[in-house]
Amino acid sequence: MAGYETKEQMQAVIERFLAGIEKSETLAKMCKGIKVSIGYEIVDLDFQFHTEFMDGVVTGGIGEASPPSMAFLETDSETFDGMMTGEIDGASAAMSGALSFSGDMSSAMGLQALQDDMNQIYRDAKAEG
Amino acid sequence: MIALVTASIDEEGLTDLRKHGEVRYQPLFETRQMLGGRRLVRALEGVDVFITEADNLKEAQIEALEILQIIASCRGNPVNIDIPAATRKGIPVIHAPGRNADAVADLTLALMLILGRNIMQASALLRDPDRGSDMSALAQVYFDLRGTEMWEKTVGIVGLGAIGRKVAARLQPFGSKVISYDPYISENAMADYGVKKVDLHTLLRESDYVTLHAMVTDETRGMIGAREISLMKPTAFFINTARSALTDESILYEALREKKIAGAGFDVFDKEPLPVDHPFMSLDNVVLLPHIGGATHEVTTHQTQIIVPDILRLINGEKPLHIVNPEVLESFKFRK
Repeated sequence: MAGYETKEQMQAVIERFLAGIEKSETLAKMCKGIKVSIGYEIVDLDFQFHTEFMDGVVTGGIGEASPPSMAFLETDSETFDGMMTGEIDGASAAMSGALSFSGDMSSAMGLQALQDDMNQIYRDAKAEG
Repeated sequence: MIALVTASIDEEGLTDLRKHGEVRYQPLFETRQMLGGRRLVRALEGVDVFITEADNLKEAQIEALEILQIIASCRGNPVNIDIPAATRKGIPVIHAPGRNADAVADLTLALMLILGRNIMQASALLRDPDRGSDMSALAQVYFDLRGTEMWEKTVGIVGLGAIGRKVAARLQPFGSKVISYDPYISENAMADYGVKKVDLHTLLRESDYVTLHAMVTDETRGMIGAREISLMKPTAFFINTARSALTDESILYEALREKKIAGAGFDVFDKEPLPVDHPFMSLDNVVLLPHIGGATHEVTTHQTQIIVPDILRLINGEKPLHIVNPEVLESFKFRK
């Protein structure tokens, strides 16, 4: 089974992932003009993290963002991992109920163009472990 | 009764609901906030009636809700609701079939006229700084941009449901000949709408405009493939305001690029929003729209008129007209 057995395992990968997106020049360039923040809630591990794309500056952190994120993605670790590795289609996961969105989804949709690069950074972060 | 309304409902409908209790009106088009997961559960705590359009209410949320009595999805196909989960909890789910029918039928006619009369090209011409103010160029394009009228053109409607019938009705004043393929509608019923029943291949061979209005089912998925497109006239236009899964985008792209058909209008795609590097973007004989078929102000009124009376019926112990899981009604009684 894909995913993570413990919160600590996932947090270690996410910390590398967040460091990766923060130093990615490609993501910084692609998010010029975009102002979106996303909060992630991994329900089975009770784990939260967040990402922010603020006009060319990408940041992220463990836990909930302050002020709160503009949009939220709630799922389990297996579905999250599957989406980031490309094994699970996000739209299908949402239809099946394995993934829930809330908040300002029209802003979050603007991040679709960045998804492939983010997935690659996530896969690299996983491989590093 | 407490109702949470995140769909668009008109003032008259809200007034009718308020006669029965508190209505929390938080429409998505104003709040821009979708609800999902635990946030949706929190928003629905203590709520009896949930009227939604976009929020996903799945098994985990339905299981967590103790008070919720009625779920209303303002969609023709309530894919945002887990129907088996609602049924297990004895919660009736009502929906709004045909709420977009007028809007989509209008858009379909618009696409026919845009394609047939070269409206995109004509509009672009006037904005062209080199040609727009050149009288000789304009005289030439008057002939180059000559289009075709709907008069005596054959329009083939694939699927004569709520939208297909409204398209047929709108075509009558144009003097078009309307034919349709729909194995579930009889010849006599079609005649009542001024439509001639034909098989799919005849429709494709004879039509000047082919427009899709079928639902996606195992039977219809991919129903318009290479063989079907090859039957169309080279002067015919293809319109899809239904679902892209009925067709094959790569086959349509090739047919349009090689001018095997004259043009096409699409409001639906395999991937939405349509990627900027999608092959369709390179074609000048295609009109591309960002899935705006149901995007009209009047849809609010249409869905209000379908959904609110059904909620009132359920509150009053009557049978709703548009219920997805009627089996729950046997034991359902609204707790006032």
